[in-house]
Amino acid sequence: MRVTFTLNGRETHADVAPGATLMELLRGQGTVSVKDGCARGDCGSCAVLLDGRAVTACLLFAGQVEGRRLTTAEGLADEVGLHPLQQALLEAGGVQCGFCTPGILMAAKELLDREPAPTHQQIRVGLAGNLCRCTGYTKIVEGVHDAAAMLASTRPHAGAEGSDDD
Amino acid sequence: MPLTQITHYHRPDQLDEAWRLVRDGDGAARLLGGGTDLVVRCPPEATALVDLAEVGLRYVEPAGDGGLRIGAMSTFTDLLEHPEVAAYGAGAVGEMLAQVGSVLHRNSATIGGHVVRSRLSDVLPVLLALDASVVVYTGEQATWSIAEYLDADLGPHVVVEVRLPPPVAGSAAAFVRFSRTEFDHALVNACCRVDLDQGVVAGARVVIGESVTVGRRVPAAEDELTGGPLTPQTVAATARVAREAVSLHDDWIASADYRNHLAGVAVERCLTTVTDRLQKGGS
Ligand SMILES: Cc1cc2nc3c(=O)[nH]c(=O)nc-3n(C[C@H](O)[C@H](O)[C@H](O)COP(=O)(O)OP(=O)(O)OC[C@H]3O[C@@H](n4cnc5c(N)ncnc54)[C@H](O)[C@@H]3O)c2cc1C
Ligand code: FES
Ligand code: FES
Repeated sequence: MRVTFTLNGRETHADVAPGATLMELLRGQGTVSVKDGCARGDCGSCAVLLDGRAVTACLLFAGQVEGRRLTTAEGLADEVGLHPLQQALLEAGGVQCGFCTPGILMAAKELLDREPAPTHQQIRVGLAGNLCRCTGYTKIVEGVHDAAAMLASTRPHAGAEGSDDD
Repeated sequence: MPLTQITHYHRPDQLDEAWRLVRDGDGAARLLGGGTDLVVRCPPEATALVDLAEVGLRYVEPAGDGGLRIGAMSTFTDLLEHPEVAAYGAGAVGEMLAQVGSVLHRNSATIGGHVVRSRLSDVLPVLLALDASVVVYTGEQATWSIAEYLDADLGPHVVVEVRLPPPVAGSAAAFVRFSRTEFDHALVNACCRVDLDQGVVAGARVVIGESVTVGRRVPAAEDELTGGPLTPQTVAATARVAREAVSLHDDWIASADYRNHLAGVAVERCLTTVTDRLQKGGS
């Protein structure tokens, strides 16, 4: 069946099996930031933004994104450079093997779009569905704090499709 | 791996069309809410998905009687962000929703899919304690109390709405869950509601759930509480009765003794919070 949606600002058509998951659709298209960690909603490494909300791509059928707007980690950076969240996570030491990073970025992006100055606890709650085997989380939480500060001090970064809070 | 047995994906925009697809599918057509359960637990006989996204079931509206009508396709995030739903039961609904899975999961999972799924749940004990009801469609609409709905074997049906009754003055509820980690399923959870009338407990709900069961009222504990004042002593006595009345299961994660003990602690904590909430005015 054919599914039409917006992926990182571009209208996209995909032919998929009716029982395919969104993760299968996206990885099949080469959107490999979407990681297959557990395929059952436990790890968050497949998180993407669906109409601005972070969801696990492994627990959605591909057909559920018909007509909707998707953002993946590929949609964060632009030709000018990394998104402040990516930059801050790197600088804080919140990236080691990097497997969890795209999912963490998407969960953090939703959080900062909703809550530009989150508390420590809000960051922990916002990232509660994302597992990281390497960093111990402290650096990730620091990175999200730093990103919030960077975003507050600069003009909002446009990324591939601008802010997702509309 | 795609679910290779699925050969059709329908997106009806009318409730009746969704119902006909399921009725005529004879078990092969499955309704799709958020998908968080169906993706991993799609039964082998299912060959078609009937996505309810376009049917218009994502809403929260006041009901004519002063309660709330919650469309089946409302996600847990929709409900957590809805001030009246989150504040319902003197905050018990929001308290519970904030502990269901993670934000990633609350953004997809729907209340309709949850009540149909009827398995280990933090949501159902709260719906039971609040006397919620479920509106189902099978060519015509029917309303079931949540307790009747969970016990009934309805066959194919579409859940259209979950309803919360009009808030009762002098009433408050609270929810507590114990799990090994924040993201894990509850070992035990509980929701208690007390309706106070001039300092006397006029109505009580004590519901205990655990992994594998959906939550059950504990009539002996409700009787213990009803008819007297709500004091630390009556709270402790009710918790003791609840612990003795339930018979929770034993597995490699926790013994039955431990679960029963937790059930008593959960009831005591719920009722202590309820007492505080009632002192602040309740619902
Ligand atoms: C990672 C993870 C963590 C979780 N953590 C928790 C937790 O902490 N606490 C908790 O209580 N639960 C938890 N759950 C369970 C979760 O809440 C349910 O999976 C979810 O609510 C199901 O809703 P859904 O919309 O995704 O259902 P779906 O997967 O879409 O459907 C579930 C079932 O209901 C049927 N169905 C769906 N909508 C309707 C309808 N309107 N009418 C009739 N039939 C319908 C489907 O055919 C299917 O049989 C967790 C689940 C996951 C995957
Ligand atoms: S791969 Fe989706 S949550 Fe783990
Ligand atoms: S950096 Fe390796 S899993 Fe998070």
